[in-house]
Amino acid sequence: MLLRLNKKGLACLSSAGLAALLVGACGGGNDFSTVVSGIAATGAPMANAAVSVRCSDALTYSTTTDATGSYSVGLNSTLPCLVEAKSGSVVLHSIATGTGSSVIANVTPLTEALVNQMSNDTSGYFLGFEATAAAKLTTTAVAKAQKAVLDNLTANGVTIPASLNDLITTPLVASTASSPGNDYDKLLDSIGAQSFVVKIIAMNDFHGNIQAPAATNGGTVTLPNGGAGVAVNVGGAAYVASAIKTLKQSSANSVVVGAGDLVGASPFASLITHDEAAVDVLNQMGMEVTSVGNHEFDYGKTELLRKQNGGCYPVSGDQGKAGVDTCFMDPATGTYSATGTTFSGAKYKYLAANVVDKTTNKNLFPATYVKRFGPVAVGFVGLTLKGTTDLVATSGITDLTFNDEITTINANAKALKASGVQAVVVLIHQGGVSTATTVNDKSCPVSLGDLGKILDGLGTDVDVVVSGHSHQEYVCEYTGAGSKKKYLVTQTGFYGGAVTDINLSIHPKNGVTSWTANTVPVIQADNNAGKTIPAAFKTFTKDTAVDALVNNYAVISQKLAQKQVGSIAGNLMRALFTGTTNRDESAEGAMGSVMADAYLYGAPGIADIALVNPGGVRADLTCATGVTPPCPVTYAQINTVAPFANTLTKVNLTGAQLIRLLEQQWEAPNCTAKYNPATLQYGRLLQVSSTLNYAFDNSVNAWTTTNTPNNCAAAGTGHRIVVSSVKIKGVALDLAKTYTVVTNNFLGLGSGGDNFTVMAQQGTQAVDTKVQDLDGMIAYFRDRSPVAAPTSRIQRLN
Amino acid sequence: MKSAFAGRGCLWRRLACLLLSGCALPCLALTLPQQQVVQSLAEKARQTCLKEMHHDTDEFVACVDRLLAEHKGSPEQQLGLAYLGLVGCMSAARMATLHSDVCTQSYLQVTDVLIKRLKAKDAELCQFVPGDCPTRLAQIRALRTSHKTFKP
Repeated sequence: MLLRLNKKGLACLSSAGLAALLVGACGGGNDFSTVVSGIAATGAPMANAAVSVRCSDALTYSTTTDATGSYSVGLNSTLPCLVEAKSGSVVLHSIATGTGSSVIANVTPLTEALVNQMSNDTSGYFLGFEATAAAKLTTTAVAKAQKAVLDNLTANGVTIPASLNDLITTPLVASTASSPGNDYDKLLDSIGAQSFVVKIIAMNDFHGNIQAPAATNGGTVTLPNGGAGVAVNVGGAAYVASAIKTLKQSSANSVVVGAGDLVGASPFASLITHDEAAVDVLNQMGMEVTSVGNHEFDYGKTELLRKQNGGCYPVSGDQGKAGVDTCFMDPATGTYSATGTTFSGAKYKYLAANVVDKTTNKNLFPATYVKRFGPVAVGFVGLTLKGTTDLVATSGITDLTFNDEITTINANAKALKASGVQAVVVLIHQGGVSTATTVNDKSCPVSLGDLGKILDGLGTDVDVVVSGHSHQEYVCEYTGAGSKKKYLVTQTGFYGGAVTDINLSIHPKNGVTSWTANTVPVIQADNNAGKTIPAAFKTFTKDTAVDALVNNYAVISQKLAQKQVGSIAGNLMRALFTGTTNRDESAEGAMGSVMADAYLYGAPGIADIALVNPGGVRADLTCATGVTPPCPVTYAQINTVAPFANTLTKVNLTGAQLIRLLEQQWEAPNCTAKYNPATLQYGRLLQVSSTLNYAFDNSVNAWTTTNTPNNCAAAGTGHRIVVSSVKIKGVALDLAKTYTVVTNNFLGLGSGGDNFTVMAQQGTQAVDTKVQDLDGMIAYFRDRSPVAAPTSRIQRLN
Repeated sequence: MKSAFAGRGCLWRRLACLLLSGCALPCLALTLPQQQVVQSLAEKARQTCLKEMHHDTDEFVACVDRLLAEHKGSPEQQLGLAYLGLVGCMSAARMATLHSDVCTQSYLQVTDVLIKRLKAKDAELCQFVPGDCPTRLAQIRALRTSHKTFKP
């Protein structure tokens, strides 16, 4: 309800920077070029609200509304200006535009929605408003924004009265005891009393799967059918895009969000473009905002910033060539072009509420994102798990701090609610694990684990938690132990096999009043012949534009994948558990030895030995069936062996430190982390270059009496190495001499990965060469082919 | 998230068994102490190993296998662990997690040997791990049929 527009005399106004001058002008008697006036109201008037007007010259004028919400401000600035009204937690904006000495600028939830068309961050837009922004605020732009708001209201079933032709300038007349208010007032009252349904389309852990994933690796989903379920083929960006489009068409208010790991650990088709392909495809799919996940940090802070802001991949060996492995976009369209030369970056926004750059003491990316749907707004808080530091190479994130999840979420959620958003959705890269047997099991048989601990610490400002990381699918309602509030908690699987369709009913005053949510498997319409799809599920055809885009990147990757980089004289195998394809990290393998040799070869300058963590050797190199050696080795094959884009790192160790490092292979905690009962060998065995030979005594701290290693040496106390056997380049080790070791950034920098702390913490002159291990491998195979399986370098005694 | 079956009594389990398996009395083959051991170890594996499920089932399998190796002496304990391994892999298979098909078969074989030895019933095992029992039991039957690994 509103009172009548009150056109009383001008308030005396001041500018923040020029208060004295303007007060003087004011005192001189209405000596203004323009007067802006109007009503600030949410339905009821915003009485005694602080009103600020900021203009293109960056001057700010202030006043206060009266009991009717009426205000009037004199300006000595040029229009357009922005208007902000604050009353308690309510902050609304409007635009003062037009010509003449007097203009009207009402401030209502609908003008806030209008300004939101210009910028998602309306408060930030107001604070930063200056000449450049003002120049874009043309009559056409304002009219377009007006239309968008009105169209959205119509789509939400709201009838727009014919008399309301301008949200900014149409007068507001409120009802009184004797007469009803005008149409604008009735509309605000009506909107304030109804709920709006906002559709959130969520996905997580896409991992650059622009092509349909393999059936045995994320490419099928089991649907409930009353029996054992039916497995259907799912995924592929062209189908995901179609699913998203279909879901969006069913709602007037929608947003596509992610919960991290959208890129990183990607298939070759995207990885070879440094995930520019995935970013381009996600842009076209309509991704709007996502949290970062641990894999977004796989290649470090700088590369992640490039993903957001654009720019070609830096030149590094065979990589970083525009049009070959980077920069395929047309700058005008921001998407792939056959003649493209740029990479424009992600159009979607990364959020990193708990990631602080120590060099600036600011968040690496914004903590929150607000999207307004007519009179209601949804605020998103995005973050990754605090434990990201344990999951990625330290060298790329040394400048970053990953803060506690609960504290971060609660602080940001509170701020969002205080700023007037009605719903807070957390996008977090952390998740639970389900024991469901089909998708959409609403009984929620989920072990929430670390995510559960976070949920138990959340406050009442949070409404929905969209999770990720664990590659699981669930739709749960969870009551937080701390808040006693029920949250909707979802995760949608991985690789684009499904999306989550969340529908929040949001009341402008009461916030989220109800919700529905379902996992929507992205079922391929043309690739499930003979299967009976249960009626509750839809199939999707390919989106032709995204399909074409994916195909363009596929051609690029195929060309690079088939490029031969060398040959092998026979199979190069990792150490494997007998009868399996699972690597045995407690043993030495030919592939690991070759990788260590390639490290030594590929690192700039001179070094003595090279060491590789066994978990860093991800595949074997084998001859194709029927091919007589030497067998060709392609770029794609090499990439499967070394997919992490680790960088070669040099560090100096004394002979004594090297012994200590080697002992860490079998000491706790590596002792029980990896073991092979068949060989009675335990620990993580570093793969070594040909320039290092040694023997170890397996009878020391022998593992013989139980099924798991039970006789581990404590950290720092092992003595299995036969010191006299250690040779560097064929010469007996000198304990006092300094040797240069090549390893990767995972082992050699930060605190030292896989519990190998000696290099990172005791080594000297550590240098990240910035040469990627992949480049070292390519150089080695280019120059040393055919590469044969080396003889053993490590001798086990007993 | 608590199990949907947490805190339910023996009577409920008997009813569930009858409803889910359609078998004639006596339905429960495990004694109550045996059931408690099986359930306890299934829960231990659930708490310890499920969180290892991620890009593939390898770490999960390694975790369950490690527990199996540590509890070799007791078939009841082994059954609880292997059954959780089976359910974990079946659940992973619903989203085609890498290697879930292999570990499903592997744990089904281990579980079936122990089921035979202890004369346990699928339905009574099902209640020890949260989830949709009718569907899970149907899937296990389908797995046995397709791979002919079980001849009760």
